[in-house]
Amino acid sequence: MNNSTASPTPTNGADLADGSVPGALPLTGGSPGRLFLPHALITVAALAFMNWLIIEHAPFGVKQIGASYLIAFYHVPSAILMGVAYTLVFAAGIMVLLTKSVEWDRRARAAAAAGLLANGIVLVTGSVWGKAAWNLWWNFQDPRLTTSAVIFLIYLAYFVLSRGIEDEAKRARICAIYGILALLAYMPVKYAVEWFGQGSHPPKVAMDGAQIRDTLNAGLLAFFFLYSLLYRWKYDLDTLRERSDAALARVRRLEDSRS
Amino acid sequence: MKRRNLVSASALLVLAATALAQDADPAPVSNPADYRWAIFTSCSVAFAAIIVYLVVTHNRAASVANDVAALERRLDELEGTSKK
Amino acid sequence: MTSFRAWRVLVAWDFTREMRRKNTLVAMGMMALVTLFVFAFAIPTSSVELDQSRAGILWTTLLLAATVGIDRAFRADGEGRLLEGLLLSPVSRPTIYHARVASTLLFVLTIAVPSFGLFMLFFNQSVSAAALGWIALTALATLFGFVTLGVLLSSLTFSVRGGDVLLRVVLFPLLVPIFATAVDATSRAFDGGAPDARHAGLILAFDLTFLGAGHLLFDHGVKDLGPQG
Repeated sequence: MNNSTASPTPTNGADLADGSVPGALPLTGGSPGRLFLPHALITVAALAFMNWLIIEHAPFGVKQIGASYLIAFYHVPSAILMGVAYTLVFAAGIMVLLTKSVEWDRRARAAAAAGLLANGIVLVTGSVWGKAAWNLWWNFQDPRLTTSAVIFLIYLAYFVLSRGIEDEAKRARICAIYGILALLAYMPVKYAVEWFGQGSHPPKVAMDGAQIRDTLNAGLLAFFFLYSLLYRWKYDLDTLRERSDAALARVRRLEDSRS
Repeated sequence: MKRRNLVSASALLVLAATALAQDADPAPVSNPADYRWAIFTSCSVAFAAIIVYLVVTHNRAASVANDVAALERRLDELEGTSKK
Repeated sequence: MTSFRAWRVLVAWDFTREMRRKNTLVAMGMMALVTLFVFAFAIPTSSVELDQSRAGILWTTLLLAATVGIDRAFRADGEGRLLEGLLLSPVSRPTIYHARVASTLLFVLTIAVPSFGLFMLFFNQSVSAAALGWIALTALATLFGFVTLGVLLSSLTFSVRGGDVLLRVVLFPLLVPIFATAVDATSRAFDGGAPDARHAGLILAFDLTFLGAGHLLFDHGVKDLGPQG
């Protein structure tokens, strides 16, 4: 049944002898254990570059809402990448059901973690912007922020679920199904909150112009590095946890067979 | 565990220091442009704290992975001898 | 045709079994009653303030009571083992799912109707026949949505330790859209209006999406229990 305990080769089939953390990543390629630090440094550089663009390059303030719009350079890329991450959870869930591989479950969980961080940043920046715009830290009348909050709850529940199930294969299956259902719920949540939530639409802020576009693109790139860094971190740590659990199980079986 | 606490504590300290420094010497409200550097510097510090945390824990995981690999090799040997 | 027959047999069997035993019905009824009483102390019940929150009170009560019924779908004594037996039978997996959805909806409705009556009584409400019709229609479609998603999630969580809490944790956030829609539609019906196409569209889209998802995914969820796992 459980091939990670039954055979010395772990589920991902990577070479163990070289001592690297196994598991090549679909997004970044190569051996993740080695290029993690460069990835982190690039992330820092990209975030710094984005901040510099926000301060020096982007126009200071737009018509309706003034300078507080600058937080959108954090908010908008995070919101876009949150959608990407949650779509990856959905796709990886389908792969789990098709291939029955625990490997895809780790990918799904790593994507969910990256999505949850992005979602958290969306909520925090949205809340801070709300304080500047309406003098309220939280406003259920803003449909987009409320939608993000409900989505956050849905994916938080994903982690409660995955922590609650001990058996590896079972957890993979159940979380895969939940990840699929979670994405299916997105459109209903969006429309329900917009139509039947607490009410008024906030002004749509026009964000155009070459400088704003540049800064948004830089933000998209910087946050892509950040969330893919988190993805790799979560993936590698989960891989390690499963490997050490498998090794411990082998130790126990060996002890049983000797006694 | 200890290093993680240290990292988060120092991040909080820096954030708090930034906020306090602003309070001690408030810029004129009429020109919020002066706040830009302070605000985005503190954001950068927060992100840097996250990234440092990720790198530190990932490094430790990589060294644990070496131990696990050694353990796995030893287990391979032992299981090989016990089967024969 | 044969799977329809199997469906009918399973629904009737499940429903009569529960009606004889009555454990879940009693628990659901108590849950509804207690929730209504909690609301009576938790919020102001003078008529003016109640007009704004009555739909929310009604739906919170129905949600909490329905969850007890949904949780029972596979957890009640022996239900899990019964499911294992069913999975060994030649009945197709989607048929088992649809049958469980239908029988659970029947229990939930058995409690929802008297709960609505008690709500009207305790909170001194009166509605026109037309409003009653709209509320009934909304409740039917919404509870169906609760059950389609709930039975699927219940089939995933019932065999996990602490699964009853887990079911609520995963079910409630996913139910937010249909819950909000039902509250708004019911609130309009109470105010003498009628739900519009958006309410109907959203509730039906939700029902069909998750009924389809259950149809396709139920088999994957119970894989470790069945024979060809």
